[in-house]
Amino acid sequence: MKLSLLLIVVGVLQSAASVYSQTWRMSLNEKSMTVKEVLSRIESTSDFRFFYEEKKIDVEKKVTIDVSNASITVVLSQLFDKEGVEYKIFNNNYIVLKPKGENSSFTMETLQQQKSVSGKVSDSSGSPLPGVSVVVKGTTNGTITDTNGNYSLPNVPENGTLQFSFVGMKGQEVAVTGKTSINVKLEEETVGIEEVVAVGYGVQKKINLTGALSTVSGEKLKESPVMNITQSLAGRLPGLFVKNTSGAPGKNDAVSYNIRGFGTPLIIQDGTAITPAQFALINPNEIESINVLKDAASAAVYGARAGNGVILVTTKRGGNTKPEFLFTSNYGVQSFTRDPEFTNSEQYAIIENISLQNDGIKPKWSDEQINKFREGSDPAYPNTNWWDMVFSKYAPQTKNDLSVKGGSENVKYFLSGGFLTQESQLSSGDMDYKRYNLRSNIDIKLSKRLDIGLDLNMVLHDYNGPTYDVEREANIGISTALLRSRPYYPSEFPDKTKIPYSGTDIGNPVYHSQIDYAGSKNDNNFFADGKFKIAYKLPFNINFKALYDFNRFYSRNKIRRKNYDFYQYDWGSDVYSKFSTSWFRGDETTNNSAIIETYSLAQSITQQYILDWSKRIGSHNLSALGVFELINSNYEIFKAWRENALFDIDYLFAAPDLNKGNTGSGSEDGRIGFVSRINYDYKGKYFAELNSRYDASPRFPEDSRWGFFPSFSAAWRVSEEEFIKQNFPNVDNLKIRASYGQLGYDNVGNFQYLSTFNISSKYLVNGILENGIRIANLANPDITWEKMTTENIGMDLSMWQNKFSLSFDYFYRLRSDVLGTRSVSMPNVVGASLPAVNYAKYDNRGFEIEVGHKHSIGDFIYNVGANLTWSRQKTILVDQSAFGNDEERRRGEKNGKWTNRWWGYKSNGLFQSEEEIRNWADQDGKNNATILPGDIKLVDLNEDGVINVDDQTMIGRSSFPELMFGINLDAAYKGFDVKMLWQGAGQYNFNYLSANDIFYPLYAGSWVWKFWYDDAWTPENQWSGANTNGHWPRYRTDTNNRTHPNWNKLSDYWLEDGDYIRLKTLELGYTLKKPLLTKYGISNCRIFISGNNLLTFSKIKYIDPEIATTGTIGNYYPQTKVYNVGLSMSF
Amino acid sequence: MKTKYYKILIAGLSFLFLGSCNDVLDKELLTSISDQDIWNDKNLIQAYVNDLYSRAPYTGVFTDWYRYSDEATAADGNQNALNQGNMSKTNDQLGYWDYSLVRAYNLFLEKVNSLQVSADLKTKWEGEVRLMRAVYYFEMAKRYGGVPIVEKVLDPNAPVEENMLPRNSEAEVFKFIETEIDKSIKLLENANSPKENYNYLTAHAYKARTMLWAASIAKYSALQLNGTVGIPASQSDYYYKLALDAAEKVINSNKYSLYNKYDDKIKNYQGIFTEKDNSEIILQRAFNGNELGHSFDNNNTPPSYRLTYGGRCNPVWEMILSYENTDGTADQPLLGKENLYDNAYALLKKKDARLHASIMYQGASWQGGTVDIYEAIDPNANPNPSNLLSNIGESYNGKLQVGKDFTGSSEAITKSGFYIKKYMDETLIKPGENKSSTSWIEIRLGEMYLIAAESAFELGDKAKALARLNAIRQRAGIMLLNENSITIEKIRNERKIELAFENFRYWDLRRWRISESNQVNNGVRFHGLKAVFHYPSGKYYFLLKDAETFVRTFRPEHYYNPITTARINNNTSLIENPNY
Repeated sequence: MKLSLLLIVVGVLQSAASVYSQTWRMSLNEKSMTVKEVLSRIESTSDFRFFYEEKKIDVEKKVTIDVSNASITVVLSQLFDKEGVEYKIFNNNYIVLKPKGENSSFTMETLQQQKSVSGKVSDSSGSPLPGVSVVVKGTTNGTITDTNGNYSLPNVPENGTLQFSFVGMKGQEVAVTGKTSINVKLEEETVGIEEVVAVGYGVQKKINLTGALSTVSGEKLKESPVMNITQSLAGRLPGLFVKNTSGAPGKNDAVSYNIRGFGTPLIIQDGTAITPAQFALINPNEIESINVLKDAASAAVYGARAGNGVILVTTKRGGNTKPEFLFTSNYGVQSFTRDPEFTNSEQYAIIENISLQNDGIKPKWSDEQINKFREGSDPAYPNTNWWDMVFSKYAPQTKNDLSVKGGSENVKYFLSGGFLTQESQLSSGDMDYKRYNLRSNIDIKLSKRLDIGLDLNMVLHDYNGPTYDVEREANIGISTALLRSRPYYPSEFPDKTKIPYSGTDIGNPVYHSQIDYAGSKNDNNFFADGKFKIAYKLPFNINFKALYDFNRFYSRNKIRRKNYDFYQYDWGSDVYSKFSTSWFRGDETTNNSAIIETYSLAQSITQQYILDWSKRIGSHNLSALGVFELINSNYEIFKAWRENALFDIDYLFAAPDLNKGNTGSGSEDGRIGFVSRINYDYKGKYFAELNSRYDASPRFPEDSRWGFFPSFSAAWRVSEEEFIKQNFPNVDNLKIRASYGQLGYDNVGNFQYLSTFNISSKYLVNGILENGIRIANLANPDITWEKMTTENIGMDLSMWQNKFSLSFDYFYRLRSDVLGTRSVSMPNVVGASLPAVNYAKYDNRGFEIEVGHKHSIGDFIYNVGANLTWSRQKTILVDQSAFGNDEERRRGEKNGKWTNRWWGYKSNGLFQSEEEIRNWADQDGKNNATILPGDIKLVDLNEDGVINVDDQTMIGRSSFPELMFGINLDAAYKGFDVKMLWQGAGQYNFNYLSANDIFYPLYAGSWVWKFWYDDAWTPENQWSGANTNGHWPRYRTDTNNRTHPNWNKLSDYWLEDGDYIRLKTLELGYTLKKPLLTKYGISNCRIFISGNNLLTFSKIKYIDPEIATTGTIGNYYPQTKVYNVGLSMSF
Repeated sequence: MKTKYYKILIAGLSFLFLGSCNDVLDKELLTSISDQDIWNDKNLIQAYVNDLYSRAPYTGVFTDWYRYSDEATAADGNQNALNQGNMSKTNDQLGYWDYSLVRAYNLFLEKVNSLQVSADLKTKWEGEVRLMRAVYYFEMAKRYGGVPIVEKVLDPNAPVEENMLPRNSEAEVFKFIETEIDKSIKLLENANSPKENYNYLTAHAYKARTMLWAASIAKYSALQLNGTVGIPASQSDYYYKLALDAAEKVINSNKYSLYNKYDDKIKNYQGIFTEKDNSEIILQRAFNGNELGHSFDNNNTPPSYRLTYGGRCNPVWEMILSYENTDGTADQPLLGKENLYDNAYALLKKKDARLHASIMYQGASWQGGTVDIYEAIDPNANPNPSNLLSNIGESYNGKLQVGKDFTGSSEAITKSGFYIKKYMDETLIKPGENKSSTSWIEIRLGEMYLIAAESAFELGDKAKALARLNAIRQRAGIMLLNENSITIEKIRNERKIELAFENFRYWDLRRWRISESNQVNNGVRFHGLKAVFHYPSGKYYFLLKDAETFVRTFRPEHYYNPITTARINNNTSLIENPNY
């Protein structure tokens, strides 16, 4: 009597035991397989265990079996029907086989009969483990292994389970199932020892890492119901700063992100570089993980490009599994995070009157007129909320994805398709974005030594909208027209075909957002990337890999501009008078109606050849990697336009061949790099890694285009030391890491080593237009990349079976050879500006902390984590003109100072009385003749009685956050789960004055926001009474505001702490119970509701705290929050 | 089996290596032309010269110099450092200190002799660039007085001290200009160029202009800073003579003639500035309004005729008063509610035709319509300016309360009650940015007559002065002067009127050193007219109003621009101009 000796997997899925034998299904199609092999195949993929007497059943017999999705009875009947073998299922998973008609010697009783079990316990290398405790589960019956690792335990029930445990080793449970001999190998207990992460040109075990790397799984990123992967990075990764400045559909570049406050990082997807724009196009469903390489040790293999760190994107791949389909569907609605509150007509008129009163000018509006605004019954005195006219409250977005993943021993695949649509909140409904993603990652094992693979990725994405963006672009945006419109202009006239003047000569924002009136803008883009890979196993444990990548980005942009006339109307005499025609500004082409088409094509070809080798010699582990990489890329753009396009045919031919133009240009780039990496570890305790890249960039002259970028890192797993193991048994892992290395950043000063001439002017001679060429620059023969020397010290700790984890990194980066203009070194009579040279120095420093805790109490499983990063930059060396005196130095010195600080006056509240003003330092240069109660008090820092530049000082931190943090909370109970991510930023100041249209009341006739009416310091007046407790200073008419010290002397009165915390992501899910689904072939079904940016806490009330701090601030498409419902199903 | 996989591997690898390595590092900047290619290609050298022409030292191509002089104010309020007297050593307004252009001239002049092109072409190019460099130095000297004269390409890598060149004296700079123009006159002897390029008469014309300046400085300014600024008074006659001779040379060449095509004096004067390539033009910058256009019309069109900006240049009432009556009388228009007129033409009808050709006012006809600048309707039977209707967009008995050319964005509405007409292209409807195709006239024959008149008068040759001045007055249709009535003031006023809005006035005031004493340019406010439509009578009356909200200030040190602290810090050999 012999029982099968297979490792038994003790699953957690025992809830369905009673129906197990009915619900279990398998597919098998094999020719000439022995019965024994079939049985063991079943045992290995199920909970079934077979019992039979080998003498009586011919298990060596070859059979042919072809079943698909078959139950156990079907499989067994196909296997044994003709053989005269019967089977009987006990306890749902014990199956006894016997010749037909015979009585079996197995019964439920015999199966459960007690007997003695013995065996040997060893470690993963096969050495015997003494002192391991062996216990029958649920009893006190136990023993420990002897010096040879052997044990023997009597009275073990046949259906019992043995528990093996040993300090520092992963515990194991083995079901006895009638066996009398059980040998066990115990694995060392380590934190995620099997977890492998992507590193440059390869993968490494996470536990072996010596550099600073953080990682987030694609599963996490999917939780945010956002349209673009970059939007979901915020708060997920320590060291990554993310800011999303717009909610506009298809604005893929609105998310700015950097690593540790450095510049633009390099982005590598599955081994080759992609642009930030391409990164934003990746479907989150395709992503396995995103890793951020932060220090020199991890990024040095990318050499001259990697100075600002590297983001590694890894997409999903198939495995040796059944095909698993995953369908996900999301439907969401977007709505603004901040809905601005504006004044109504009455309030606006009152503000205008007060501003005039403050200037000593007679009011513009009579009380009677103001009454009419209040009553709102006279059509000549309307109250228009332009914001509500232009924007709707909600806009839908949808996202649907289907993927399949699986494979066999030899072919593995991951195929995925996705489709998303996003509409805008423009009421016109004329703006939307669509994206189509397709991916196929295929790996084929051609032989034991040879693997090949092909990855294909295609993305189509289309944006359609009115000619104008909502954001102010060049000179104009829908938001610009909107913020300059006034509520006391009507939204329509009796003659509905006449477009009303809204208060600005830019145009009417309602019509500016309509394609029919303003014209359209279409952006159609196609991105394709293909990777062909070969891997070959050479002798001596050497692997050879080659990769060939072709990447092309094709883009077409078509703008169809239209003009429309807008009118004023006299309600009394029923006369329309044309006010103006809408027009276009800031474009090289024309103010007129036109068709403008732009085509561009970017492509790059990458080749990589990799050799890697690893060897274990005793306790020494050694591995090495060598890479040769070639990259070739080029870019072309072509543009053409014709003016006065009056027909509704959106092609160039339809516009007159009179006023027209075209242009085109191109660029090319390349790179050669040699990479090497050597890893060494001793006993898994001491690690060392040496990385380097010898890199060349054609942007620099021949003798300075090659550079060597080395890095060295080491780690010590303190927790592997005996004294820790013995004294701190709860420590699972404690690792100390340090790295040092040099990187480059070469996206600077391209081709400045050449003395070149540009076609830069036109001259008309004798009626013929001729080109003019001009010297572009003096050559800089020594130009090269910036160098970044980075130090990183880090520590990873996890305790109590990973219930608690902590990670800390301190970094310092010296950025040297930064291109800068030497300011004073050449008299300008020379007539040439010295080229920028590599001399300036900056440094960055900061730290990151990440803590985590996970635990389960019964069915309740939870996981909390938090991360925080602080980074600042200091100027070390830049050229400065000589300072005349200490005061000039105080104001002007940059070296040794933090970069990006607000400089201005200190303030001390608002003046409340004339007397206070008389006794105050002169702050307008006119003995305070222009200062009135309600104006800002500026502080006379040097106490010389005059407020001037000498009183300026540092009044605020940078305009972008120095501090970023994220807190995530995940919990699951039975089928329910909740996932939450809070994200925030700190240590920065927003300057309200940079948002003119909001914080300068009446700016260029703009629509005043309601807080000016509610909370501005207002003197006694007949319309609104006095408000001497108002926060905002006294306002005058627009020109006088702009020139008044309140506004033209930047003080800390206008700076606001930008600190914010927001509920970035919240997801509530419920996973349907399995038995209900398996019937329909569905293995998993989860429904969920989720949201993005649901709550925001910040002192910045009127606009979103993530607002862009460059450009025309406030003229933007506000950030959105998203409410989403979704379903994901796998089958 | 094994070999098959090897074959695939090898095939795959050879495919991969195809077309690799070779060109990876051999890249170029595709948007530029390399240094070596330029000097061997005739077309590229011509393009180099074209570029120099495209930024030639003109007085300014359709620039807004009017706003700094007593000609006009600007719709944006016209508050700026020059008008408010705030130019300081950290604030060089309208500075002209671009030695990169000097370097570009010098580079060409060093290369020109070794170029592989015909001798004719070399001579022509050298003459053009030499003249251009001289004029560039003139524009600098106009502002700063003496400046460092750089005649060769300086080595940027030379020791810093070597390149710290001090200022030459103003007299040296003008001597340099004189000799360089003389050289270019010889080099350009044979040139028969289009009006966009220089020829020998262009050189003579420039000589007249620059030498007149030198003469005026010698006569009206003092030597300061050891001659770094100022020219010895003894040289004034010498320079007036050079100016007179050069101007006479151009006038007598008979290559150009005063434009005199139409009997209608208004139409005729307008034609000088709108008819392309006309006989009066000596040097011009040409535009086609498509690939190469300017925005003068777009910037200045009255609001109801504009596409985008509009209404910027607003001639002031004081300028209008400077136009003489055609019949020689001295009475000025009557303002106030007592005086009702059909339109502003009726108010100004006695004035010089050049006024009507240069300035738009209430009721002026434009592009088939009229220009309505009135600011209010007076509904009272007896005119009463304190009870007016002026609600924008609203009508009174069907007539807009505010004229259509007084509405729109505030920066397009006239502050003086007038818009500019000179140079405006009446055929261009709804102009748009860079759509204007009129030529900028850098030098015209009229200026030569005025230079001749001024320098002859300064030299004491009244007869000659009278002849040249009356030629201009005759063309304008205004009463001629005689030997008794000709004065320097008359000559200067003629220049103000004839060359109004052509970038001369601000500089002439500086040249004569009268900016400070010119009462309208210093210490008072400029005025404009507020037109009111008197509804009961259907006529207009005009009220004097402030055109600017501030008082103009001109300080004596502003006859020279500051070198500035920044430039002195950059080159410690430079010294600052007086009183900064």
